[in-house]
Amino acid sequence: MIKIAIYGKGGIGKSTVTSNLAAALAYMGKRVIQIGCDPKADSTSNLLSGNPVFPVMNYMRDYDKEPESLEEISKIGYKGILCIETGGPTPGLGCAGRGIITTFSLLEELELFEKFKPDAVLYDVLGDVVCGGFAAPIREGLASKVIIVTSGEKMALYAAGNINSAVENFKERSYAKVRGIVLNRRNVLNEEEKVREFASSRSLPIIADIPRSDDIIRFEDEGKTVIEGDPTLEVSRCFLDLAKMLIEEDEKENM
Amino acid sequence: MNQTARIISIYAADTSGVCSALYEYGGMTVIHDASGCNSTYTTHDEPRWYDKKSMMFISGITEKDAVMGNDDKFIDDLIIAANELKPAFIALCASPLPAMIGTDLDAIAFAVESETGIPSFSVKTNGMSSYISGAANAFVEISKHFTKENPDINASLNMSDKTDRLKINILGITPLDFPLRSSYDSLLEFINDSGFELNSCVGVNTCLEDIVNLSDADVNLVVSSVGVSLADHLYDEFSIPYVKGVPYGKEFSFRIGDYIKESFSTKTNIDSTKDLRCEGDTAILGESIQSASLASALLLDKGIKACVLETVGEGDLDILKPFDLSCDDEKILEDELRKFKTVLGDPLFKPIVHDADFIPLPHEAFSGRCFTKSAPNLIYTDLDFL
Repeated sequence: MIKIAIYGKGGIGKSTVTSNLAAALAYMGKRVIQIGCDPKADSTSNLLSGNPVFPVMNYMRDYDKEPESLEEISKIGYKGILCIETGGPTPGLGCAGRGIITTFSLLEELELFEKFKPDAVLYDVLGDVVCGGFAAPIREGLASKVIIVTSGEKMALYAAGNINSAVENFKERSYAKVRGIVLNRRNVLNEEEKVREFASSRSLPIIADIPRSDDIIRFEDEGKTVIEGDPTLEVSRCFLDLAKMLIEEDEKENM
Repeated sequence: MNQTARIISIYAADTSGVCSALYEYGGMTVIHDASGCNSTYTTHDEPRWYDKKSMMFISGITEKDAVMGNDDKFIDDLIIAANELKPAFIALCASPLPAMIGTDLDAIAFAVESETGIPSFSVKTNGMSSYISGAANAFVEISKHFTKENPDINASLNMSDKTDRLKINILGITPLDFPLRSSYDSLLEFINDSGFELNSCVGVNTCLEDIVNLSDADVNLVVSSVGVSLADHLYDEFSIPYVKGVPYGKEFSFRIGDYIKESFSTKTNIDSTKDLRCEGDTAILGESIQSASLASALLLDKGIKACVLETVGEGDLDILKPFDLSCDDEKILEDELRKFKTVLGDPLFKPIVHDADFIPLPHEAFSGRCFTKSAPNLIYTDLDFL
């Protein structure tokens, strides 16, 4: 099974990359789950035509009980992708990180993987690995690989470096390993060189290079990914190529 | 006020259940806790504490450790202690504090095992559930790590092919439910008199070899809710069927003996109380399997019809009948108890029993060692305590 957690600086395009990768995997015939791990709960909106799923933590807060079925906290989106959002506590209160752990425990109790039998699970994780809760998606049994999304901007690379170090620190714990970098271009000066240097200094491959594209914004306005909007576009091909690589890699690992 | 225990006691916590379950197996059990869980366990929940050595520890987590995520400190302490004490295994469980901050004890166990080579695992607890889930999870985890594969297991063998005595595991016996040595002796007597042979007794008078050899058994006898998860695990892994029930009284014990043979022949799991329960004006309070077994035994031996009021709020609820009740809320329980003429339960329930005759049946998991000396042993004996 493909199990990937996607990290990166806030606003760098993690949800865009995650939902387009999910859509690409589904386009290629895979059963996909996408779990948004951010209190904003907007990771999956482009897979759901803008009709958001009810986040798990919001359910628990509003009903003061745990959901009893997956149907209550999930929605089927583009090409059968199962969309889930952890959501978060009341803004300014509670503990968002612990909410992610609670959500994963609950999904385990509801036998998410046993029931849905996915080929791929993508975790779209908030910003940085700021506390234990935000490292929960890379715990053993959840994601096995981490993809870091970055542009050539200084602060995006800084955050990417922190994330890489945090994951490195967990190596004795049997957590996920960093698989590589997705360069999500912002067209800053010398962007490719900066990201290449960053990646090579940490022995990380750049596994996808996503061009800046107005098509992404155009289709997001319609509540769609570019894969759904037009899979023949150049930017769509980038996501499809990444999906193809991950599928082949997974098949090889399971041979 | 709901969901409170204003008058009555509360049951031992899941962390006590873990310690109780693993006490005799030569491992090091560590509660990730600031302090308190261990003293509650040793002073209230563990009658073996002064007679039998064991390695039960707390981590001594501080507020700063919790806030700063100082897991390395805990890992270092575990490695130092393990290298010094050379335990057979290391079991970790969480008190409310690490449970609230979501400490990854699986990862810590992995790191400690990688460093020391000593089998290490975590047992799922949060310090707020009951002893049943803690002990049940502990038994499953230790079995997952130590029970041997059994290539000789022959699922097609039945009673007529069986030449030697059936080998029985007793599952679910900890001092929290069975504090008396005489309970164990009576179970053994029941097994021998029934023509069976004890394979392993999990929990008391035991050692790690008993866990290794669990897969050699023909049938598991589950004597409390604490044993159900392990019984399910052994059924899934080794196709060993189980019978639920405590051999209380004489007639019910004979029934259980028959059900053990039937379970072996048919390879099915059997609830020994299934056909033996009638609604009545007697209430039995406590853990579900023991209470349902006692209700069955009272019906057979004394003709007394009794309902079960399962008061832990956890455990095997499948054994309950429609006229039984699972209730861990003091106020609801107090109101329910007004419907009965006779109530059997731990003495600490007595203050909420107003009109009925009360017969004390001390339960270590509820009242600690306060009443152990006056606790009757009802296993495989005449039920003349009434």
